[in-house]
Amino acid sequence: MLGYILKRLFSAIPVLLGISIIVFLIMAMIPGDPATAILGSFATPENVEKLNRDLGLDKTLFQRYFIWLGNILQGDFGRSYSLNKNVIDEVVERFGATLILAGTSFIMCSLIGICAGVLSAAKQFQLTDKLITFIVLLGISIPSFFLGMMMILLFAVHLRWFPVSGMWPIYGARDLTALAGHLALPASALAVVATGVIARLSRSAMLEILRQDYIRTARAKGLDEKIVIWRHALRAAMVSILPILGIQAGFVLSGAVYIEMVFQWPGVGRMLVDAILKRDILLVQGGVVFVAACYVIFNIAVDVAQHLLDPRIKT
Amino acid sequence: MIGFLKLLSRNRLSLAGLVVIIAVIFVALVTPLLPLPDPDVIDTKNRFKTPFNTDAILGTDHLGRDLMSRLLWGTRLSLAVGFCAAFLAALIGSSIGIISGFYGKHVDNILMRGIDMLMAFPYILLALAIVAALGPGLFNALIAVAIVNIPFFARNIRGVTVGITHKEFIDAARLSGMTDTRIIITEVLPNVFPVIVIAMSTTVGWMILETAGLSFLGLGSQPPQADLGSMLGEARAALITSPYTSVVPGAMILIIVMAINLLGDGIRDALDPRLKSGVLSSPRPRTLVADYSKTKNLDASELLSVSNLKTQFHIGNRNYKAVDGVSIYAKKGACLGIIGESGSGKSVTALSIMGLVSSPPGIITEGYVNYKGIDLIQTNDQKLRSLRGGKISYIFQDPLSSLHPLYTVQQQLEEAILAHQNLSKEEVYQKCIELLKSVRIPNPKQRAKDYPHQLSGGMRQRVSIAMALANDPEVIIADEPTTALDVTVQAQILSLLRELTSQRGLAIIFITHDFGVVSQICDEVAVMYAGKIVEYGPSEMILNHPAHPYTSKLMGCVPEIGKGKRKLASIDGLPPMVDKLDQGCAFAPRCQSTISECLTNDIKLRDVNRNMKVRCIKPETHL
Amino acid sequence: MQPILEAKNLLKNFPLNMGILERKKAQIHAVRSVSLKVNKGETLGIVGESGCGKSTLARMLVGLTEPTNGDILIQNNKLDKKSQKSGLPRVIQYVFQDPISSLNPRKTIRQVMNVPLTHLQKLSEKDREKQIKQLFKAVNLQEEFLERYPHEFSGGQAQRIGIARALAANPRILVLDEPVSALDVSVQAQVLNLLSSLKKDFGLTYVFISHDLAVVETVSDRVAVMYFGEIVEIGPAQEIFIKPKHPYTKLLAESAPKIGTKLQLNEKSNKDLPDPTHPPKGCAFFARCNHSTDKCLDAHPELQSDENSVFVACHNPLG
Repeated sequence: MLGYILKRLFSAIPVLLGISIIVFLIMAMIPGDPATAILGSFATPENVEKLNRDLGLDKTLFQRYFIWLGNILQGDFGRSYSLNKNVIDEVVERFGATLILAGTSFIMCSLIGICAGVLSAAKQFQLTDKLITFIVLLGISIPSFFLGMMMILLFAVHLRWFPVSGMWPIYGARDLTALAGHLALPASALAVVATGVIARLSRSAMLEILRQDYIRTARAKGLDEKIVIWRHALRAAMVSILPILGIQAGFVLSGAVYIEMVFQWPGVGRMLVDAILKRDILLVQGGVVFVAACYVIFNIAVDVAQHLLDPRIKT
Repeated sequence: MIGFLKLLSRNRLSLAGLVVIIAVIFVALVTPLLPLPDPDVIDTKNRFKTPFNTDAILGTDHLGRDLMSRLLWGTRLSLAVGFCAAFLAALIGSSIGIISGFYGKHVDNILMRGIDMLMAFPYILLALAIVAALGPGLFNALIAVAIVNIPFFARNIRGVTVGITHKEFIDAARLSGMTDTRIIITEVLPNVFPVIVIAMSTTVGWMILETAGLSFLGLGSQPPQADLGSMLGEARAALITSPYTSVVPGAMILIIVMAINLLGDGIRDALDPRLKSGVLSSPRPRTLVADYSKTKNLDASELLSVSNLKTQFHIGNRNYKAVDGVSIYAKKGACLGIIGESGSGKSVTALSIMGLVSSPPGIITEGYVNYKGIDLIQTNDQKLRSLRGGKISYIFQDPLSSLHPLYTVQQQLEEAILAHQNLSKEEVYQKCIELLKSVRIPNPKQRAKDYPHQLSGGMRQRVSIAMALANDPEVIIADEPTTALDVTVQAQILSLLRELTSQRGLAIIFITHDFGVVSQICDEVAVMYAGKIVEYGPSEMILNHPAHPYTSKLMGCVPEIGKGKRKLASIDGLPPMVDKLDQGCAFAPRCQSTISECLTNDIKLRDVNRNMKVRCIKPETHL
Repeated sequence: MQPILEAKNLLKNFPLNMGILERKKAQIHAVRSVSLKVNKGETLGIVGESGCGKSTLARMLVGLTEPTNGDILIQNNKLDKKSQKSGLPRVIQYVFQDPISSLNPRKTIRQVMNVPLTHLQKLSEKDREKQIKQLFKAVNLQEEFLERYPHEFSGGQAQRIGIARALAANPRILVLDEPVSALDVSVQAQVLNLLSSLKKDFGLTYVFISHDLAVVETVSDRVAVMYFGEIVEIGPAQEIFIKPKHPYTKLLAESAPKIGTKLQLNEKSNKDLPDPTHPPKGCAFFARCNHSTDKCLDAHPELQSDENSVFVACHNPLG
């Protein structure tokens, strides 16, 4: 098992390199002069040239990539000019906030999504199924940012159950209760779409499994229908649900960008959008590479779980 | 095309989606012709006018622009961008998928590694990076959304293409002299196309959402031009004071995407042939039973008997009478064979006994199954479950697919035991090993830890038999248990079953299509044709002197070892479809001794002698 | 007699997918050095249990699978990439096991039939029309079937179409891979009889592959028995199962259920097949054989002929 994990981690290296190349190339494609963006259009030519040298822009693309790669491997993602702060510090801090939001949301959507999918499949064509299918359809059709806004209107402004936005109260203790209160609305809004997708795909995975011969065998053995559904069928369906969870984690992370905007959550997504609008390239570059790398590691964890679940995959 | 629309219209929600989306597209198309105020003219005096006033039906936004006009122009833009992105992504992604799937090997490896690379990003990161590089703007957002969705198409289409490439008709096309390019265009593409359409119809909505999202973040359409996303983004600041400026574009997105998704589901259902034939419906825990009058007094001394059983499949408006009035009797210590060709109803008979016929579409419409005075068809779920795998157990055809792939042999056996007996952990384990020994699995303690895929076909079927024996059954129903096995293994399994019958005094109901197997293991046999038993009696008698013309003809078709090269007897024509049976004998059209009575009358199963019954007016044997 | 089809030391290994990091690549030895000759006008039956390599052999003979090693000679021309392009495939055609899946579900039967006529025979539309009519008559199919789609046919009808398509290339040799195993007995007899009359009418040579001994015996002149990627015995069809020389042939013949015989068990142990990734040094049947000696464990038995044109690969052949 340990061997497999190591092997899997090892095979992530080319993927990570690929990510760094893609990000680097995309950023290198940027038209215009970053120096001008940083210094403003009234900068003297000498200053521009000096900054270009500082940024390494006088070297070839190839050299620049390896210098950049060498730096990020040492944890040096450069310095954000708009925040005047080390990129890595800012990214790590912001990513922490995003993780709290996306993580909560991911757990919510996995649990609810799978349960809804299983229930829907087990009661195929019955009222429960139709109801769940319709709610799910509504869920995947609503833009999460619109839903977030509507939730603010209803639960925060109108009913005053939860705070309108932010991660912490402006005054008062920064404890878990405060965080949970601030988290409730954004995490739910973020979870809705992914819940819908997971429920849908879990339902079809379950339907696929439920007509397999071994389910008939389980019933022929005289097993309780609950065991047939939740043990035999779900266990087998998890083999195809797990990769979906891996992909959906990426969607939750992506959706977090919108939700962070709507709820003023101090996460990495909002940071990126701000950085793009301010043309703070190093911050964008660093943020994207860092988050993508974390996502790759997460997907390795999913693979390992998959491996534990399915004895048919060879070690 | 008409058939497709018909299928689509069967789903009313999809039809509603279609109507809505057509209406939206129509309005978007005629927007330039409508007498609307300019969407971009700023009139700060009239800002935040509430809806339903005479000047602006939907009110005005924070710059006093007419919301109705902006909504329609924005819808136009959002739809165009969404569809373009979907088309681009589908075109590029599907091409990559087809090429990768068809050529395989290195081409596949390189292309798919590239796709994996794209998929290693949470999609918005990639989209943000692309927009960051190209600069904010609607066109750039479109490109970003398209690129981000390429992997989805490439992966899906590749999977389907690989499946199709391995189909035999591709080999056949190759042998017929077609070149690769031609095979891709005429053989692969037509089969992949529906999948592309399905993938597109289920992602267009998603892509409209994504472009709207980028605009919402301020990275898509730039002011003053607005699509639905940027309208929502601009309205966010005034969310609390003037919520309607947010609700108007938000609701529009919801309506469009919902309609597209509903339509997409309908398209998927209409194009997927598996859904059409109802294969994707999941079977209920028990076969449905039609409401019919119950038989009251059953003979409690009988072990297991089936009387006048009728099981039908209702698919669409067709009614397949798979089993049409079958009666059989299982006896202790004896093996009853049910033989017939495919579609004769032999397996459905076997599965009906314990309510294991898939429902939908299966339904039992008449008859009873008497197990010691209990009608298994009418009894409650709990009673039935206590008998399933208890006193009456099953062995199925393909041991690989009928054992759970993710549980070990031990887990599956122990579970079968514990479903009916209350034993301690140690006792269960002992019993499990004993069972494996009794079906002569060498090294049972080791094998118990194996997963089904680690065993050979013969070993797997032994495990299935062990599982059927777990709770000392009285009756075992074996549904073609050796059909999937090689002959040498078949001989071993048959002799094992034979031995178990005599040792334990089991009654076996054995379904097969092989007369040789009947001869080797069955004491009695029922021959089935088109859902009915045509002949029933001691197997030796029937095999030596078949009374029904069908039995004798069918036996003539079976080639046998030791007779050398020769011409075989054959039966002209095909077995009838059981959804449109004519009156009279179902075999009459293929029979040589047909008389007019055969075509008009319902032929009854009648006694030939004390032991043998036949459903024929002119049986071939008179004893 | 000059053989029309000859295989020399055919070998096929399939690499097992072990991932990039694995140095040593495991291989499945599907076919291990098979040599055979098929004479003009005869039917050679090939029989064996699942996994013995008979289908891989068949696919190699028609050029659908490339052999790892060895040569195939068709009418003394070597089958390779070059000769495949130049139209050698016309001479040898293939009939598939699953009749429905060998027809493109989105093409009408006429479209299916037109492919070999256009690409291999290069006929004009009028000639194609004529040929299709003749072929359909030959396989007893009605012409109105031509405008229908594959899913509208039963297995037996679809297999007739498959045969007609193979014949449309105007071949000399047909390789039939389990052509009747997906069919019911009554239909199986129809197709087998059709095959034998076509052989006469078109002057064909057959290689007939099946797992069913009785079927193979019914249609073949000579039969080759395969076990674990090798031919263990070749002999005349009417004798091979009555007077088997190889213990495996005997086991097969005795295991096949026959009407009127009681069940007898000829193999006490439940030994599994040897591991196809690591073929044994000696005889592959060693562990299951009742007549084995020490020699069988160490020395690989070669296919050798006895006095009457029977070839057997066994150190201790039976009576």
